[in-house]
Amino acid sequence: MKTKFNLDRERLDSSYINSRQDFEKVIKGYRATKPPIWNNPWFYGPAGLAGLAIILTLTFQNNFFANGNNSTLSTSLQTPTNQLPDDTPCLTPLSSEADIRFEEFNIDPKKGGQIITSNGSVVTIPSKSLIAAEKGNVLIKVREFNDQASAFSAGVPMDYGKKSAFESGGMLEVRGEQNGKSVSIDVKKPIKVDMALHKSGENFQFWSLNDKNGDWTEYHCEFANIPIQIVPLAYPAGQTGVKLSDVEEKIEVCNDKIQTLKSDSKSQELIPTEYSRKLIIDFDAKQFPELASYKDLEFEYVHPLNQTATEMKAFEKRVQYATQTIWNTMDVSKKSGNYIVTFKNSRESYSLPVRPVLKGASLVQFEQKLKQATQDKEVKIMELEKSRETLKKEQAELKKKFNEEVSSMRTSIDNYVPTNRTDAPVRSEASKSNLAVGNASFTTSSFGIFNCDRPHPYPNPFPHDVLCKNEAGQPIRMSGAFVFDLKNNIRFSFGIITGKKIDELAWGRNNSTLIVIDEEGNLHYKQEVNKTSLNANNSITLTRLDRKDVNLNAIKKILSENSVDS
Amino acid sequence: MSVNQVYHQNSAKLEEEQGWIRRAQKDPEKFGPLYQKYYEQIFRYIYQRMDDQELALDVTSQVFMKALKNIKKYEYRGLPLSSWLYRIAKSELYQAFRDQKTMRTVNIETVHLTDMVQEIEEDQNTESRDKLFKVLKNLNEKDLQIIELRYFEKRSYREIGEILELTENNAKVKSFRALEKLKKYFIDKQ
Repeated sequence: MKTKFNLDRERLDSSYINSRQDFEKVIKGYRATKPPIWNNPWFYGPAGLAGLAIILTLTFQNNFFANGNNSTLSTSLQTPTNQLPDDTPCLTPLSSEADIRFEEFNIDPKKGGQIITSNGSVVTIPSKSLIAAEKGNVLIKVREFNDQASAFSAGVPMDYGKKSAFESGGMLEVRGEQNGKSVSIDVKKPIKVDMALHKSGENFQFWSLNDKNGDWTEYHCEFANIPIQIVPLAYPAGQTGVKLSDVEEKIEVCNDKIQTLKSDSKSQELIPTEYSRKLIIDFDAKQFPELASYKDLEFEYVHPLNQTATEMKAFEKRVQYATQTIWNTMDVSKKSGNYIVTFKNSRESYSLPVRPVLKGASLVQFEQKLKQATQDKEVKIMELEKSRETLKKEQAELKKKFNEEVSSMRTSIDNYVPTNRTDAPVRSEASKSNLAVGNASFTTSSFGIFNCDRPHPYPNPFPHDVLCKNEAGQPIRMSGAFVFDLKNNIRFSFGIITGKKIDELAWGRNNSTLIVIDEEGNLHYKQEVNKTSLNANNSITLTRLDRKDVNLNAIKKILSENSVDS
Repeated sequence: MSVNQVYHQNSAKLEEEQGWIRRAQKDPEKFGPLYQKYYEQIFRYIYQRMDDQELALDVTSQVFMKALKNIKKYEYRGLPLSSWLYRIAKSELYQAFRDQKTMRTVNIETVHLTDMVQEIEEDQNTESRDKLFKVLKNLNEKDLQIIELRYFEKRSYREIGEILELTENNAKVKSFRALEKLKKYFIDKQ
């Protein structure tokens, strides 16, 4: 890097620099890159709740009038479908019944629009972002995998390399098509996705799936963890939240006032220090209007803070030099709010930091006044602290009440099933109760599957092979086996796609469920598998589920995740 | 040597600042008081290192935009917010150099040279100052950064550490070494 050296470049005046402040410009720039409102916990306060209620109402109304003309909305929810895009050879759903349905939305590519999924994720499509072969609307399809059952049923690979499997905090697939043909996204106008997570994004990374080979690639994303809040449909009549925020605001004001009073050291500024070194200098009062009202002023050197012994010595040396040298002039000036005395003679100029201090009778008077003011201040601080205590008690009571209201709402939401929809979006009980724990925001210029995960190592293989038998005691001819670690929500795959070989089948200490698929596509399972589950000959007996009975609800039941109907 | 008081704050001021930060974390648009407080410092830090005034103003705006965007992630570690802002400023500044928008500039005042001449225990005369100005050009970028922060901007070791992402002790050691190098160049030039 080339470097240029300037000596004594003209110093810009503070007033000039400050005149160039433009906070509006900064705010505008910030707004342009502002994270979505979902990232703000206060979104879930009264205003957010009311807004969400409106959004949900509109969505359901819109669905109810599915074929109606509603020109005010840019998106419309279509009938969910099972149709998988052609470009996802790595996705192998267990069966068409078990696959996860897409939510579909019509978007006018010219206008763009915003999609809000039933899970609370938001897809924002800028105007002219979608590139389609023909004019007219584009179909945007979104589905989310909020639990083990949905990702497993849809056949989403969850391996990371050969040695690890993912624990998912949330996964979303977004696709676009027009009349059955795929559409693309303009790289200059990427779509934005704010994905609702059912686990906090902390310690998670973000990945996108290579549709062709099933590999996950790390993808840039911004996480926003929303403190545990729920998503009620409307705010209760009690308005506790409003009162609570008022009280919190009052406490904040109290804190600020106390801090301001405590930090008010301005009055101390004119008192000389114990070890002061005084300078009597004639200064132009017009130059320092802030000092005009004081009589008997002198200046003292500002003793440096936090200095080492060597530095202190150097400072003393400087003062000594300044006091022992004969100077022609001594001028006080102010730089960046600090007073500086500059000594000059024919040979050189020399400067030291100084501060104005009072002396003589003015100092005595000032100190008396200061003593009185300090006492008054202490009384005021005590009063404020007392009020703050009262407010804090009120805050604690309101918080308790608020939490009670919130839990009652939570129950009503979790039990809520839209009555005007026979094809309600897939939304598991687990995902509902964990909804909006966090949020992952990213932009993309290609459709695909995006996943918030962290990898966990595969369990160490057993020293022997595991023999899986059916209830009749016959060995199962396995095409694949899966171990679901229920504690960490991880699926370890054996013999399928990129997983380990079948003979490496093993599980760890955590409570797990074993699912095996036989060569005919039937499913066999055993819950609560642990190291003691193996019989003497290292065999394990599994319960059979006929391939025609394999569907999402059955998988959820096996994995102890709540079914769609509940 | 003296330390510029403008960069030092007492605990009460730090607490007051924490109040502003808390409010800005709840609503970044309430960043105003912090912007006003630190605008000049950050601008000076940037302009000290480049010649283009308008670009320095742009980079300063960029720094505050980034600060606003990330204020929620800011954690108080006993230092004023300025240390965090300086780190953002440093990153933005070097990005501007990498993009070749402007040239890296070191701005020195005669009074700083006088201080430094004294620090390296040489005679305080014009000749020494001129020589020092020349030998400063021999320093590499890292040493120059430390000298600039310590001797031209009068920052504490703790603050230098925060800006350059070093421990306070490490900043002290590096500063000492940079000064030793400078001394060596100075003596060699004689």
